[in-house]
Amino acid sequence: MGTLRASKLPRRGRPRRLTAFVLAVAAVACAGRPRERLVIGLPRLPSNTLLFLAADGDHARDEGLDLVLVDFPTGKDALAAALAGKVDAAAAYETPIVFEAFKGAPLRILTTLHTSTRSMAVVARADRGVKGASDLAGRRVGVARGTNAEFFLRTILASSGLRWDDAQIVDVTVADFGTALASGRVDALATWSPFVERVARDLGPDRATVLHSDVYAEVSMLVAPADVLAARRTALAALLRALARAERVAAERPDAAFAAVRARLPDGELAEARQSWEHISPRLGISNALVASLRSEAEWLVAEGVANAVPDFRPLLVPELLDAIDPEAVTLEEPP
Amino acid sequence: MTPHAPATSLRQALLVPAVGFAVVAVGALGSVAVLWAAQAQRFEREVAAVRATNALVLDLTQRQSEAQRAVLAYRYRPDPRARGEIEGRQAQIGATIARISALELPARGRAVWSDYVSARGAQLAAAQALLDAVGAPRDHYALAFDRWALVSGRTSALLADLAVWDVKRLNRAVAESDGQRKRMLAGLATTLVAAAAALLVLAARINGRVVRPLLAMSAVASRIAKEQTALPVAGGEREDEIGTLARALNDMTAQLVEGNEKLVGALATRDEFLSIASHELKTPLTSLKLQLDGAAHRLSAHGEPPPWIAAAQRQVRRLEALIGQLLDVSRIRAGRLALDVSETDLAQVVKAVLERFGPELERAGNSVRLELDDGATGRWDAGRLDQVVTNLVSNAVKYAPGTPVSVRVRAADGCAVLEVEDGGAGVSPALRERVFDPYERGATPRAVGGLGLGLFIVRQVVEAHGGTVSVGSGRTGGARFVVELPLG
Repeated sequence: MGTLRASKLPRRGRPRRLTAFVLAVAAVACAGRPRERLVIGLPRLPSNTLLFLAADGDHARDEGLDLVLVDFPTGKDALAAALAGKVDAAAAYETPIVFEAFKGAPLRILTTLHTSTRSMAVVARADRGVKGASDLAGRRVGVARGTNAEFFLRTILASSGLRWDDAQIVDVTVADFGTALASGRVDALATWSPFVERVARDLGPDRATVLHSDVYAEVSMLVAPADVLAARRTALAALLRALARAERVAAERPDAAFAAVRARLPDGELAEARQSWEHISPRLGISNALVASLRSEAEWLVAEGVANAVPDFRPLLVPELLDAIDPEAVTLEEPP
Repeated sequence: MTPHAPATSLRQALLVPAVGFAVVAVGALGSVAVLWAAQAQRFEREVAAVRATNALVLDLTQRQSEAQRAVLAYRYRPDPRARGEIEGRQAQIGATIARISALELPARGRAVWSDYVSARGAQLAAAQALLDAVGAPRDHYALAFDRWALVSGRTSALLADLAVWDVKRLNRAVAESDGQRKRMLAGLATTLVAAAAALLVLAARINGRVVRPLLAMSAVASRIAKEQTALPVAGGEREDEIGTLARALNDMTAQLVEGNEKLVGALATRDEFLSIASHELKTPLTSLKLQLDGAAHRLSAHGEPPPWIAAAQRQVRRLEALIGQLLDVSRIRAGRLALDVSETDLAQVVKAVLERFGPELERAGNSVRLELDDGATGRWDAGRLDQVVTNLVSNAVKYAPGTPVSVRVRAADGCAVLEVEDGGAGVSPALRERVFDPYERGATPRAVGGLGLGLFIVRQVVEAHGGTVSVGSGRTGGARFVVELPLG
């Protein structure tokens, strides 16, 4: 190998080389900046529209995140995975959160993801004489225990003056939703969209009775374990910013938001997804209504003997992250 | 030469940017004012909307709270009247809800309100069920109460959320208003800074393109006036108004210099003529004087000479004095005024002149007041000093006949001071410097005889002695001449 000789550049060439070098370093720095990976567990349902939008669009990427969504059958399962350290955070519904709060689980609520008053329903076998809520007395009613379907069922029973033990409660997993009612294993099934629509469709209009509750409001939340929040606060704040952008898209372009949902669901579920989509409000927030919902459920469950004491939910809330992004979304204060 | 329009006009070069800058500045300020007013209007509308929403929400919260208490109290007073009151309260709540529904709320507020309206429907149904459950078995009432409490807690919480959101909406409007105000102030400050910078640039441009050239022209003009010589005015190569002015000044200077040269030539010719004439006239005049003196002498031997002899002698003496002045001026102009100095007593010179002027003073009606102090002695040309005193007294006779004339000689502060004051009209301030110029004969030259050389000669002689002469106003307003000669 020959000896390299230093060649002297003409004086006017040196500034150009320096500029090019600086630009190249800057480009590499910008392009090669690694994104922070964040794994969120969630059920693949229209209620998680904002997370779908954040992951599929540029919102999470623009916030420096590599957002990975992991499917779980229910929000309860996703929450359990988060508390077990298998995912960083979870999209869960109010009932499993209340149950974990009863146990003193170290979870933190960062924001709501959606609200809905028509996502839950009891689909009943009309051909077996279940025409209304009062007909559930003594019947076998299937429900995924520990999910918000359980609390919803309690409100349905109460609307007809029935107590929890006035019906035969059967624990049904999500995997069995499609067959439990049709096979006759249960006379009614408390479930959520799109299963409500699918099961009712499978039974047929003559055989299915769909019972809704006017007092129940479903709300899902983004929840993270306390230690994950402490260690990944910056990433979770970036996720909230991505969700806020997704919320604006959902408000301004609902079709684009539904497209993100549609991309996540099998083709056969589109019709049901569209039906349930009509009743969903994708919305971020930390509000008095959220605390009231959690507390009301807890009080109901305590009154029914499920737990001993109503937990204080305020310490579980982390409003400051969302307040820094959208102050009007945080209304967790005493009114003036 | 008719000045032509400059190829590049300063008016355009300076005025157009100034006008343009003024338009931009006014436009910027106007825009800021319009934006400020628009922002203020938007803020006022936002505040009004928040106030309206807040008032209604507070009213609704209070009514709902009262209705809830009434529902609960119905258990202990289940009569139709109480039920009617509850229904009335619910109707009032409905009216307030309708008013809030008519407001134009932003998206987030509209979403919360929508949730409330939905929950409110469920609350009404649950309240109805609770009222119907009064008197039913305890468990049944308890279940109805749980259902009603669940949804009532939600509606109350949603109203609280709406109230808090409304306040935050106002906070956001205030923050936006403050931000806009700061941006406008920053814009205004930037505009003012830019305006100041533009003004500085314009001022520098005006200074460089207009003021400095004008000052330079003014300095050159002063030098031309002082040195009486043609000096070039810079800027003639410029194509603008300054160039036009410079070329005009140069043309004018050239013409003035040419005219001045002609005038100097004419004055030189005049002085030369007067010098030659006075020399030429002196000889025949001397001969004429001798002839007249001889004739007077011969005729006096036979009695009193005829009056025409004395008159002719006086006129000859007058001509002799005039020619003498002309010759003196000629010598002065040629720098040949020689002084024959010797120890001279100024008081004695004054006495001799006044004695000689006695008859003339008497004829003119001038009374003389004389004050002669001792000590006014110096090395001077007595003959020339005689000429000075003669010219000053002659001036008083000529310009202030019939008035008292005061002549004073004194020594003071190392000088001999001669003061000649008359009671005439005096010398106006405008003439006080010119009276010592040659051929200057005052405001009415034709009324007074002489060539106007007397005071010129007085100044030249006095200054040749190292002294000064000045004229001012006397005690009675007449002319007061003061000559100061150095003693010793």
